[in-house]
Amino acid sequence: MTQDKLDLLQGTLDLMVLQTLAALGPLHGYGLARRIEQVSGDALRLNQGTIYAALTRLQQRRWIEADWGVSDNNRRAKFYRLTDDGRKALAEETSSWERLRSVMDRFLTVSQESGR
Amino acid sequence: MNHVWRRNLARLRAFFRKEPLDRELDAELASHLHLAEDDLIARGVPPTEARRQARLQLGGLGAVREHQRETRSLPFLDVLQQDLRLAFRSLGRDRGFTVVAVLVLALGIGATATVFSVVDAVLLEPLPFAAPQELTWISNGPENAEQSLSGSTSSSGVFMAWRERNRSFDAMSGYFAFFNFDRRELLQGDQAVRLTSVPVEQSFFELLGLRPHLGRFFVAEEALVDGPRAVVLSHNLWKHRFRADGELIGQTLNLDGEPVTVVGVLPESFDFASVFTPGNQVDIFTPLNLERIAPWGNTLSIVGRLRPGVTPQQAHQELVDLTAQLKLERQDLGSGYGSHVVPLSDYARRSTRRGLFFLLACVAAVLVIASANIAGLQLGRAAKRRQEFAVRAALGAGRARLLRQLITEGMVLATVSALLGSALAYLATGIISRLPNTSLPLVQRVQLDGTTLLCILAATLLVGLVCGLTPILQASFSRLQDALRDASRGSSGDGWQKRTRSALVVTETALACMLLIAATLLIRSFSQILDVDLGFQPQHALTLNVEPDASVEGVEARMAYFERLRQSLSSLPGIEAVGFTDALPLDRNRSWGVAAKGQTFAEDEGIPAAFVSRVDAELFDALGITLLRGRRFTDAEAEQNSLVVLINQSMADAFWPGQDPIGKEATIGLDDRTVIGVVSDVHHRGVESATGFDAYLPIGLPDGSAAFDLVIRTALPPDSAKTSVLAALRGADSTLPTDDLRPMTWFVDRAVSSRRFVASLLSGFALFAVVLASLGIYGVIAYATNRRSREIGIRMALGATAQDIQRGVLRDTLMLSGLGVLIGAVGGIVLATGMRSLLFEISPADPVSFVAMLAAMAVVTLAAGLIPARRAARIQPASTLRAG
Repeated sequence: MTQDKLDLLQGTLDLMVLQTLAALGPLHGYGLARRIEQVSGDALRLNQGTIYAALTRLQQRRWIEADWGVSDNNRRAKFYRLTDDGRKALAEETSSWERLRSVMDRFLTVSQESGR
Repeated sequence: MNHVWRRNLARLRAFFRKEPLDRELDAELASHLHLAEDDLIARGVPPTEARRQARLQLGGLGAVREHQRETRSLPFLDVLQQDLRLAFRSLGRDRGFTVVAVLVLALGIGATATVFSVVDAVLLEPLPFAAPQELTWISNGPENAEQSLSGSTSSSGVFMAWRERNRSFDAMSGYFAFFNFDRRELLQGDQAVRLTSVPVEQSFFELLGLRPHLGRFFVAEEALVDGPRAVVLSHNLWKHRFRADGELIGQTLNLDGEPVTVVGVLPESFDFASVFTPGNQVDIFTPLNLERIAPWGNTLSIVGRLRPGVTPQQAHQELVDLTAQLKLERQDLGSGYGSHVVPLSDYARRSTRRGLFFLLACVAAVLVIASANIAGLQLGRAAKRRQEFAVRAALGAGRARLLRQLITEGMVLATVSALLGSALAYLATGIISRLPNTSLPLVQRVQLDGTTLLCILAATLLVGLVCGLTPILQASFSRLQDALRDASRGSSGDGWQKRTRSALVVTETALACMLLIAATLLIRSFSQILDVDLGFQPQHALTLNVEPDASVEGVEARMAYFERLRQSLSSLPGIEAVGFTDALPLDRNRSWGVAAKGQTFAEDEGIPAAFVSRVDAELFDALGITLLRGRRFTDAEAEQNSLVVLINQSMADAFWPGQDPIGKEATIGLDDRTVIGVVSDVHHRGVESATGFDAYLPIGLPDGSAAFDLVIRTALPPDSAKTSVLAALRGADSTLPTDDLRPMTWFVDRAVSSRRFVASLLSGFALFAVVLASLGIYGVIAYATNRRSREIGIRMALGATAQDIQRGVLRDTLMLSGLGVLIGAVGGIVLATGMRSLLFEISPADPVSFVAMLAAMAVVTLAAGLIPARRAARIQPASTLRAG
């Protein structure tokens, strides 16, 4: 990869959204996008607009719900929150992500050793 | 995986809620921008710069919206929707084409589906029994149409010997084949109903693998002569006569004045008659006592279930050997006695296979014609639309997209036609399955089922592809620029297109000619059959099966009862004769051994058999059988069973060639009788089968069944005489069941029903094919004339007359159809030779059929060519030249 910003893997944005909602409670789209940018320390290449596709996917799976409300600075905004299904899904996705990471870690370590 | 379903459902829902979802997204994005701006301003960015950055961070509203739409819904549905909209618009523009195409395809698909359902139900689907491949039909000789029923049934003694000694069969059972004699009278309240009862060997239903709908089947003791009287009802009778009464089992019915217990009801899937005796209706089943029928000779139809692994051929060989052995042991087995084993499904379908497969081939030809027709029309259309496609390609539509759109259009056309065609097939199969009085076996099962719908689906896909892709064949794609350049003038694709269309039309015409020939041959065979001199006059005769109740005992009382019925009718207007017989022609079947007295036959020759009926003196007048020599019975002879007999001409010629048979002695069954008269040959066994020997005995025989057929000859049309006849008969005997009072022609209709079925369907197909072919010819000629209007204009300007032009167009038309007719005639000869076995006294090279085909095609061709020819002749040279 030539640029130093990372492209998002398919599905990882969804997991980030779920995790953010679990950690911070209900948030609007802009809030979510900012929070993800902050946490990733600007290492991700993210159009804020793509967050809405992720939100739609999660909503269609009924992992999150949305309602219109009013923000801290009195703007109308749509707030998203985790459902019970979403909480379960987050747990499952997290553990599978962990497993994948550990496999990848092991794999990359072994390859480096043998490649040496 | 729950969420995957939920997501897909949500995406499908989103497809139908585009606008509210778009509004929602716009509101959310607006709110997003406000929030981002506020945030940026709060971080010290100037307002105008904040607005710019907010938008930048979001990543472009259009892209976000597009991305969102793809995510929330199913993108291919949008494309499909567009294609469909376009297809409907373009088909709607060409309304004439669309209507014709849909009608043609719907008729083609409907006809194919209908015939396929019939073939499927009658020939392909397994018989509705358990493990039907193990079931076999066992007769005492090979089955063929000429043979009488007695020649194919077996005696109960032989049956029991076969059953005991064979190693090929798991089980053997059978039914009493002459059940037509076994009419029972059911008394419900004061209403009497006549039922047809089939006596079955006790294990018959178990052998077929049936399970009772209610109750049980027979047990062994019910088959004993003094055992409990039991009856099993057909599902149909139970449903209609007893209103599907669930409590009926164990109840007692009054049958022929005796109490009989209902022990079971058959399943709905089992229709005895449709498999074993098409055209009859069977209501009840009684247990058969094998000993009781032993003295009556060959009366048992036998069904066997093979042991697993045994083939019908092996079983056949074993029974042949067994029978040879039996003949050595027993004296009563005639030398002609044999045995024959065939799969039951072959037996049940023996008479229909050829006709139906022939029909299927014909209907396939119809579908080919229909498709060729549509392909031709599409080619013509494609030429017109070349410009449209060129423009769309120029505006950036990719080839794949254009292709997809053409296929979508073809599919729309095919789908609409298939829906209409399925509806047609649904109606048609409904009518066919309820055809009354038909002798086609298993036809009651005909329905539009899954298999047929699959076949329709396959046809639809095929037709859709053909319709969609024909225009592409024309290569208009690769020469889009050419097309754009010379939109209205003929281009290089033109010659190819004309040749293809001409070839299609010639194919259509040839196939239509072949169908026309086949149909004419069948219709002529059919009318030939209707013209057969049956030996009796079915017109103006009414028949009713009558059975005096139990109080009428003995011959004298019976004769008195008949006389009472006769008297009641004689005062009616128009009644010419009233006769009685125990075996109507084309209804019953029976044969007895006959010989001139003292005649002996060689071992391997067998004794000749005659159709024997017991009649009264007036029957010959009532049925219209001509007395050729001698005299009829006197009333006294008829009543007293004198040892006299009337025989038919064939029998007289065979036994006493060149002599006067009157006064000769003949052995009929066990008695020697004096021949007193000779009558015309009667087609007793079938309209198409040859006549055999007939013998008429006096009605006063003391033994046998008490049921007789009343035959009434009337000068009035039978239908109008019916009411008064009914009233008179009820006056004579108020309990007489009269629901089967029928015109004698009913029996003739039944005998020719399967032939009528094939002939009428094929005529329909042929007519349709000819219409299609003429449409095809018209299409090609009209199109060509249209394209040539400039040329015609020039020729007229140079002095050609309207007649010249008209003649030219007609010549083109005749060339086209002439080629088709020529090929069709050759094909017709081949086809006719192949269908020889379906013809009746008509040669395959029947000149009438071929001339009729030629005449019909000539008329149709002229009609198809005349319209464009007229139009061409009216061309105004000035205007076409200016327009070009």
